[in-house]
Order: sequence, then C-alpha cells, then structure tokens
Amino acid sequence: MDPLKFLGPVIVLAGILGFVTYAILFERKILGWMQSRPGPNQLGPWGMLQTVADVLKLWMKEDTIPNNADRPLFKMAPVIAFVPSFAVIAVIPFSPSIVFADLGVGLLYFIAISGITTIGILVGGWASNNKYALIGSMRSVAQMISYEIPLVLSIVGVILAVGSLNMSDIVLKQEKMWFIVPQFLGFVVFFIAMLAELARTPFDLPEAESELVAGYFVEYSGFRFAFFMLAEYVYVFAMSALTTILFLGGWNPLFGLTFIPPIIWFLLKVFFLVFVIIWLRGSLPRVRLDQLMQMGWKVLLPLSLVNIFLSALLKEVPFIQAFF
Amino acid sequence: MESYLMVAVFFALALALPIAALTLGKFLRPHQPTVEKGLSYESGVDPIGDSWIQFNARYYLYALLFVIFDVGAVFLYPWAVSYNVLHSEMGLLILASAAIFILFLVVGLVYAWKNKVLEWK
Amino acid sequence: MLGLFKGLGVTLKTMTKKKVTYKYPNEPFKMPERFRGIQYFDPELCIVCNQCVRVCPTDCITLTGRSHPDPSKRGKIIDTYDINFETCILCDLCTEVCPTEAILMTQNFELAAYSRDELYKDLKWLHENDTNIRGGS
Repeated sequence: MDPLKFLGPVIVLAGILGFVTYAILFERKILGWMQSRPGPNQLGPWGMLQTVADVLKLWMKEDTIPNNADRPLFKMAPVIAFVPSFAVIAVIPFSPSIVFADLGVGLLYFIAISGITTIGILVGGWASNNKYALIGSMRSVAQMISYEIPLVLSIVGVILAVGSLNMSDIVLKQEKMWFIVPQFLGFVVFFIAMLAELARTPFDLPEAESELVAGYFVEYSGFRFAFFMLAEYVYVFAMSALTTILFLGGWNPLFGLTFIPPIIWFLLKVFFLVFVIIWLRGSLPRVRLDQLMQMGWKVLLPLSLVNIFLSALLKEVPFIQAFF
Repeated sequence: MESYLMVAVFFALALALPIAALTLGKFLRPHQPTVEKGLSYESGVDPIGDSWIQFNARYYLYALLFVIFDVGAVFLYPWAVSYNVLHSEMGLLILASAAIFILFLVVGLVYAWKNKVLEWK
Repeated sequence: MLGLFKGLGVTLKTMTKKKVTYKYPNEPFKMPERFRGIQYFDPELCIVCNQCVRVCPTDCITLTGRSHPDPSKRGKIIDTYDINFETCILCDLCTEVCPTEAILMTQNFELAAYSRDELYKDLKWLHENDTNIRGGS
C-alpha cells in the first residue's frame, strides 16, 4: 500500500481543526450580526485570531481534577467523546475520488460509532462526582438516546431507495434527484433529530448554561474541556456532511454547474448546513425537557415509522417509483 | 481490507491528538493544587453528600425503550438493503413481514404511551 | 409552525443591518451636551473664596491659598487644589457656586486607575484636563 495514502487522514485532521477554529469564530460572528453586534473583532484582522487565542488560553490553563472524582474515568471521558467524532469522518466521501474508507456498511458504521460519544458524556458526568454534571449528563444521554431512534429510522427510507449502505452508492443514486424531494418527511425528521443529537439550539438542554451551569463538563477545565467542545464541533461538521450525503446529493452539482469541482460542491453544501444550524441557534428559544422527550417519542418516532412504509409503498406507484 | 486499515488510521489519529495535546500541555500549564480547587463545584457552597446516588427510574424506562427500537433498527437496516432483491422474489409480502415486525414494536410504544411513561414530569 | 420561519426571517434580516455597537475604546464616546464629567480648573481665575469646598456634599475638595505676591493687589491666589475622585460624585455643585467660573465641568469621564492614590487629582492635573469643556452656564 502506498504510504502516501496515510497523509490523507493527517490532512483531514488539520482541515477539521481549521474548520472548527473558524466555525466557532463564524458562529460568534453570525450570532453577533443577528443581534446587531459586530461579534469578535479585536484579535487579528476581523477577529481572525480570536479562536486561536482561546485555544492557547485553554492550553495554558491549570488542569484541575476534583478530589472526589474518579480520576482514570475523568481523564478518559474527553478522549472517549472525541475519538468517535473524528473516526466517523473516515467513511465520508468528499468527492468521487476522495473517499478514505469505502466501507460497504459505511452508513451503519457512521451511526454506530457516533453513538459511542454518548458513553463519553455519561462517563464524564459520572466521574466528576458533581451533582450538576450528573444531572447534565443524565439529561444529555436521555436526549441523545431518545433522538437516536428517529435519526436511525428516518434513514431507512433512503436505504430502501438505494439498496446499499455504502456512502458513495447513496450519492451516486442522487444524480438525477436529491433525496430531499422524495424523502422530504424523512429529511425533516432526520434534521430535527440531528439537531437534538448535536445538542444544538433549540435542543441544547444538556448544556443549558442558564440552568445547569454547563451540563456534563462543569468540572472540566483547560484542554480536557476543549476536547469536549472540539468533539461537539467536529460532530457539527460530520453530521452536516452526513445530511449532505443522504439528502442533499453529496457532491452532485446543482443546475448542472459541473465546472465547479465536486469537492467544492460538497463543502458548499456542508457549510450551508452549518450556517443553518448557527442560524437556528440565533433565532429559536430552548424547548422544555418534557416537550423535548415527548416530541421525540410521540411525534418523530411515529413519523419516521410512517416514512418507512410510505417509501416502500410509493415504490409501487408507476412514474415516480424511480425516485424511491 | 484497505478501507478498514484506513478506519484504523483515523482511530489512531483521533487517539493521538488528545494524548499529544495533553502531554504537551503538561509543560505549558501551571500545577498548583489547593484544597479549594479540588472541591466539587456546587455554586460556591461546600458540597453536601455524594453525587453517586441512585438515579430517577424514568431514565431506565427510556433506556429500555431505546434498546427495543434500536434492536428494531438493526433488523430494519438489512431488510431495507435487500428490499429490492427480495421484492422481485416475494412481492409485497416482504413489506408485510416488516409491517408485522414494526407492529410488535409499536405495541410496545403504545403500551408505554398509555402507561404515561413518555410523560416527563 | 409559521412563527418559526418568521423568526428565522427576522434574524436573517437583522444580520445585514447596521451594527449598533459603540466602538468605544477605539473611537471616543460622544457624550450628551450636559453630561457632567471631570472638572477643569483654571488657577488664574480662582479667588480662593472657598465656596466650592463648603458646598461640596462629599467633602472631596481641599484647597489652600496664600496672599497675593504683589503687595499692591488685594485678595489671595490659589496654592493647592485637590479633588479626591474616590468620593466625588460629579454633582456639578462646585461649578454652580463658583463666582468666577474657575472650575468647570468637562465631558471627560475616564478615571480608571490601578491604585486609589491615583484618584487624588491635583491642581496641575485638573488644569491640564482642558478638553471637551462644557460651555459655561
């Protein structure tokens, strides 16, 4: 095997770190603009070095571990949370030629590995031996497992249409029509469940800063805290990429604009979704915990089950069956 | 096989980053522990009691429901992948078999719904 | 449901609007015309009548005078004049009561300092504080 191939993941890692750095800056900028503020603009031109400074600050902060904490678990939790967030990116096809791991079970791999982060959150909250952290982590886990079900089931419609779990196959199937049109119900359920999985507004209860001080990472400081945040933002990228692949046609161009390279198309769609996520954060209030749980189980789960049968039945209808 | 090697590379990189960053950070960050720093945060008050307590049983019920539906999803994925193939052999019978399977899951959901497990109070 | 999208529209529109933030430390803050800031003091005009010391509600002004060096002239001239900005409430009474307008208010307000001692401002400092002087009444 070509040893140069190992350079790819390193480039991806650097790219992801760069993405996270500027995603945080843009999140703060966009939130500022939406509130008629300029956002961070002091460090570097246009505030470009704000996140760099923040990361350096976190790096040089003292690493405090509570006396009562379970030290090995406490140290492990951020790593458990971060590792899967980067590992899932392996199966994402950035363009027809840039695919790192072309797994036959790519989609299943993505869903399964991303579930491990939930364990990291639970471990972090439990090992802190802090009441806020425990409540925060319990809430996070309850929310994440509740929305994992609609997330997983809403994709079944796409799999029915493609007949494969391979990510590249899913994108290739969307050359004529993006799945957002025939699978609109699935897309809506998936998008809402994705927001809840990412713990973004309006589902940011786990780290509801106004009620739970910060949720499961109350006791974390310095770079251990940074890794929880990093995991969160890497997931924003990974989940936006997954949504792009499943419903927005991956690298397929819009309006036949084929002169733009596929990787640019892919990244444009991902960045658009990241913007939508930030936009939602700037616009919506937080839902209540009971509303959150009821919406997951009573609305999204039945809808995603209906979507499976709808997709299967529409396969029987002539003329449009080609899209399902 | 090469793909799985790539997955392993991704895992190794993801593990290496936090280990490298935290080890390097050791030389950058101060280390002056005091008793106060080691206390658990409880809004400034000395912590009362332990946090490793029995937790509300409601979370357990959600976990059970999660397991039921997640196992359901595990069965639905291969069904969905092979749907087109099976459809040409068996016709709509393949859809009916999945319907029966999901029906059993839904019975569980309806039971939980009726018993007000899903109300969060 | 429609409200959700209305809200999204509002935030999208606000994004491109003019920012309302004051660029304060980079651009000086424009204070309203009658804003009461740090006093300006002109020793030439002071007749050492002591009225400002007496009227001051927080007793933050201390002054000393001496007789005029030119024996042919009557009256006193000011020797030291200190305002303690730890307690000064910028109430404007000293400038109201001054018969010669030797003490006036400016629109300057930046008094932050690292030590309390720096808040005792003397005659020289108050005289040099000669920007943004509020128009005499």
